Amino acid sequence: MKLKCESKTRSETCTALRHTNPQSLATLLVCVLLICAFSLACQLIAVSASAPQTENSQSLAGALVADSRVAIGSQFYTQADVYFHRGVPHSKAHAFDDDIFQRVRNAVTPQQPMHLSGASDITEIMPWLDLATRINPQNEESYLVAAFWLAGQAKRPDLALHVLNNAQCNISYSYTIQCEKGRILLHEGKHDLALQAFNAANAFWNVKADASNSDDLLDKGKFLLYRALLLEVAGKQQAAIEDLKALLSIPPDRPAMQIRLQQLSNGEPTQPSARDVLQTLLRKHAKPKCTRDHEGHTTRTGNVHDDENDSD
Amino acid sequence: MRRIRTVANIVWLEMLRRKDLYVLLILLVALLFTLLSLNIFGLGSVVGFVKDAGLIAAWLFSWILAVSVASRQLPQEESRGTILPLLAKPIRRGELIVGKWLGTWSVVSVAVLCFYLLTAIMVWSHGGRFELLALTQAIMLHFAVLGIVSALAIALSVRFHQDATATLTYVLTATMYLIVPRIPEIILPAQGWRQTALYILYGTLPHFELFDMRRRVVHQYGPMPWGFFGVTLLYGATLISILLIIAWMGFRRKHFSRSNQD
Repeated sequence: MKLKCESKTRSETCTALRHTNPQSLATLLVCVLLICAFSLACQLIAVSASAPQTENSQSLAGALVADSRVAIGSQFYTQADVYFHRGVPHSKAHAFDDDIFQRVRNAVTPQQPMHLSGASDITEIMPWLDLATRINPQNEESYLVAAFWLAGQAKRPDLALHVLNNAQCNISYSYTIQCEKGRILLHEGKHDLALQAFNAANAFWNVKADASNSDDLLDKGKFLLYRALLLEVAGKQQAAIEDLKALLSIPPDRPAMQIRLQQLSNGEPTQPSARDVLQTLLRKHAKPKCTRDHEGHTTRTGNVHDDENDSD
Repeated sequence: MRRIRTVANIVWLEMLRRKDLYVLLILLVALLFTLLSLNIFGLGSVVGFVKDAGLIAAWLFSWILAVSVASRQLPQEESRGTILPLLAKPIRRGELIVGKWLGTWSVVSVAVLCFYLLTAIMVWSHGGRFELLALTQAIMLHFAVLGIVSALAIALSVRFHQDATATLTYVLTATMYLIVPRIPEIILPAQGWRQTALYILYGTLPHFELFDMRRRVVHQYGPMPWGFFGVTLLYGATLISILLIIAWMGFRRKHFSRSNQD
């Protein structure tokens, strides 16, 4: 009797299943699986967020991804440099360079580097710098180069400042970013904001820089000079004297600044005026410098750049 | 010639039936749209790098297409057993080889023309420009390199299966494009037999870099001197002929039987 009952129930279930629309069954199954997947994903996110982060917890895959990101970012940065030289990459030493293949190759792909110039041309390097900063937001050099060209040849200091603000969000306590920001603001005539930026650069330098590193000291020298001159323009002679003293404690020797300090300490008018020195400094800084060791670059307009003369 | 054209037509029909080309075209459109929609540091749309990316994609996609189409032509005929009725028809083996190559080359060349056209339309629509003469030269040299890749794949497919042919062709062509032009640098620290081997490789392996005019087109250097252009095309034609002769030599006495079919 019991067996009969069971078989009856089973057959009813089978009939019910047979009459169920398979499509609605599949839809139901998909919904259930989606809910399961969503719950699991939420669980995983919660677990990963609460898991303690140790210094050595970075997996091999994580390390590889991070390294590739840095490598790709640096490749994009190099590509920007190649674009700046109109597609010509860094030249490398060759065992031979006058065979037929290389002669044809030189005809197919020009090898003589040439600098881009002018706002419309210079924007061509920006996508690569933008990609470099997107791939590796810690790449300080890419932000600085982008800001330099945006503020200079592209004549968009507003965008340059925006780039530097982004950089500051991604790279905390970077004094070079603040220094560049101060320089752009100074060029814009916004002296108060520039002074704030140089103050920030000084504060960040104290936090982050190595006082025994000569490069770091040179960087400090740059913003101290700007700050001293700005303070002098603002009439804050005592603060300017302090900055000049700090500047003169950093090698190399700066005889002109020594004289300036003397004049300020004696309460004499300084020659040349702080405004004039600032203008000269800004003009010098605005000149592009090429890190490549080849000579005789030309711009698209045909002017020959001599890097020796361009350097500060 | 009519028989060669007929074989080439079959390649065309097969290609139109398959979806490879459409997929690659959609990928290219997606890539270009993405790049054009990027707002670079708030400067708006900058098209110079889109040209570059479009041309790189054209090179990459056409390379993939050429290798995949060419490497399957003969092995597929063998595995399906259609090679036997095909050879029973009044067609010479050399004609079959040339027909297969011509079909592959023309299909891939038309595809690459579509890639260039698409890139050019995208660039022009966003205010960029291509120098027409330089672009024409670049396309013709690209056709030549695709002819070499197709001929190499067909030559290898005479003796290898489809997968082995495709892998070997990818490796060889990548080497020819990336390593061979660097041999003058690599050779510097090498000595003895290594140096000799590198010299031989440099002289004998095809130089794909000679067909790549991307830098000239993207950075607007204008067209290359016609003399060099002619020499490069002639070099390409010579390589294609050599590879097709090698393919014919491997194929002309090849024995086929029903048991060979997978």
